Amino acid sequence: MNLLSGMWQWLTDPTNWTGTGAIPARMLEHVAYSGVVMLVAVLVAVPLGLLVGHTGRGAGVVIGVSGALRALPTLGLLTLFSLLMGLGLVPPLLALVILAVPPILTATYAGVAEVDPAVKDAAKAQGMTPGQVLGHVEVPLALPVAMGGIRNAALQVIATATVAAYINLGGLGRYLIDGLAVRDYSRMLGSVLLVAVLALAADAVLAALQRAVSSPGIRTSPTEK
Amino acid sequence: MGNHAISFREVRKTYPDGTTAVDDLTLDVPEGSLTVFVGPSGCGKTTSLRMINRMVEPTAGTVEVNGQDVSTVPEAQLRRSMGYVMQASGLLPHRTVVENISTVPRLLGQSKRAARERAEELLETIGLDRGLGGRYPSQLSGGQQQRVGVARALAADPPVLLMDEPFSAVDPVVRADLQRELLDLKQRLNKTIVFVTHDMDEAVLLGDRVAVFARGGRLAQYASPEKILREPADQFVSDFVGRDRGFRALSFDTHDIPLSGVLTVDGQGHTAEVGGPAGVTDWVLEVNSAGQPVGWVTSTQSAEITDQAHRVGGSLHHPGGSLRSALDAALSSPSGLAVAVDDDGRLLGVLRPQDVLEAIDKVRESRQ
Repeated sequence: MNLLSGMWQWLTDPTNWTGTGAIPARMLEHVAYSGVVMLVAVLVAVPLGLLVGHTGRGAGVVIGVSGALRALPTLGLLTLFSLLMGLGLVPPLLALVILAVPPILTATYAGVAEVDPAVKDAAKAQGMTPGQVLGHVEVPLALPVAMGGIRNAALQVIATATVAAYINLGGLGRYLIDGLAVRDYSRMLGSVLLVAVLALAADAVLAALQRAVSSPGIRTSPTEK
Repeated sequence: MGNHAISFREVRKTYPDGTTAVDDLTLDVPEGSLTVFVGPSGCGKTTSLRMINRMVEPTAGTVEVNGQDVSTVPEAQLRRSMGYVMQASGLLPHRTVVENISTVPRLLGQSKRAARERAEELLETIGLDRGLGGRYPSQLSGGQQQRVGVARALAADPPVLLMDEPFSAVDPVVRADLQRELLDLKQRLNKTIVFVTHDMDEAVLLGDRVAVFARGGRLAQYASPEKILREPADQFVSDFVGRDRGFRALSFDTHDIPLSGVLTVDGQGHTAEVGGPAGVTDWVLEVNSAGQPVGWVTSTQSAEITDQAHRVGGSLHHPGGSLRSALDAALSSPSGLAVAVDDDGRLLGVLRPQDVLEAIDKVRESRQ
């Protein structure tokens, strides 16, 4: 059977769009996993990146560890965590957080580190406390760059959140695992397309957010990752 | 003199690697003066400036502002009480001009509205259009950014203004404007200004007092600009001041120089003698209908000025002006005669070079 028309058939089959385990429910699960992962990753990586960028201390460690974390295969981590902690939501979310942290951390750090030293010096010389330099100068100037890292991480997380299905959880990965088991390639391809659409939609939202947090005065600086 | 706004007492700054940036500096900056720290790079002039607002902490010695040891004042509070202008304007790129100028008043807790009004008022003080207030720094020219930097430093009306090579990154024409405006601001605002530069001409032009720093952070001389040009304290200062110090020192001398007559021609071809009987007849000065000099023509030429060098340019002498301006006016004139004009630019007569030299001679005699 033609793969593309099969995929289309699967996507347009009304029975796939209603009830438990249907596409909307799976998408919602997928968004929920990704959202939780991104929230935790941002809460970990952004403050750490700001701290390292502001103090200039530990930059070597951050870059080194981020590089090492990026090299870890998420599926391998998921397997490891599941063996250590048993099944449940925590192992896949943790594995995905480890995937999401490095790009956010390095981008946030780079955003702060790239702030013109003369601007920071002037801010300090006007009488800003270190906290005010961070809040009034470094954060607003680093935010557009940090948002680039967040967009990057979101794309990776949404694509990779499919692994949750590997340990019997939901999300769009469900169709991949189940489709593979019964050699239903149309279903697999359809879910891949849904993941891609979801990723692009999330990126569009984050891009708008990135624009919103970038002052018109610095729009010329890199807004894309 | 009791009123020293800023005092350095045996201040020393050494870095962990052993280099000495400032070596035993003792110096008083009088209140209301414009004091220039000048010297080659690496002489400690900027380091000294930055010790005033604790951007740099001295290794030994004390810096006092209005009698108070700055090390006893919290850093942020101290810095908010002084204006600071730097070479790279250091404006916050993500904030508008008005927001940038409002920085210190906002830090001091002023309302947004009051700070904004003050900022808009300052835009005019520094010669910028109010309409620029909503722009971002990247949308301004270098000269405009420097002006905004000055406005930001003035916003909280601090008694002390620290300026670290503020004009060295702008082109010479803009720099001259900014220098003139700074002198004007100083007259109007009565601030104690410490100004760092590596340019001796700028130091002489702006400073009431000039501190010449030598490499290794040694204060080589601290005196009026005139004294530094005439009586350099040592070999370093005379080398740093440069070759034309004799000529430049003439900026501080004035002497009445007798005017001589000159032959003029107007647009209609009518000739006249201005300032007395003309001694020289092979050069004729063309004047316009308002009596202002336009340029030199030779008596054999038609009254058309073709050579740009023959135009009367910026080098005009105003009676009461310095001997430097008189000599320069003579040297830059094709006829060798310095053109003297009144405040409205109308021709008064000419100065013969020998009379200028004689005046220089007389001034020198009177000084001995």
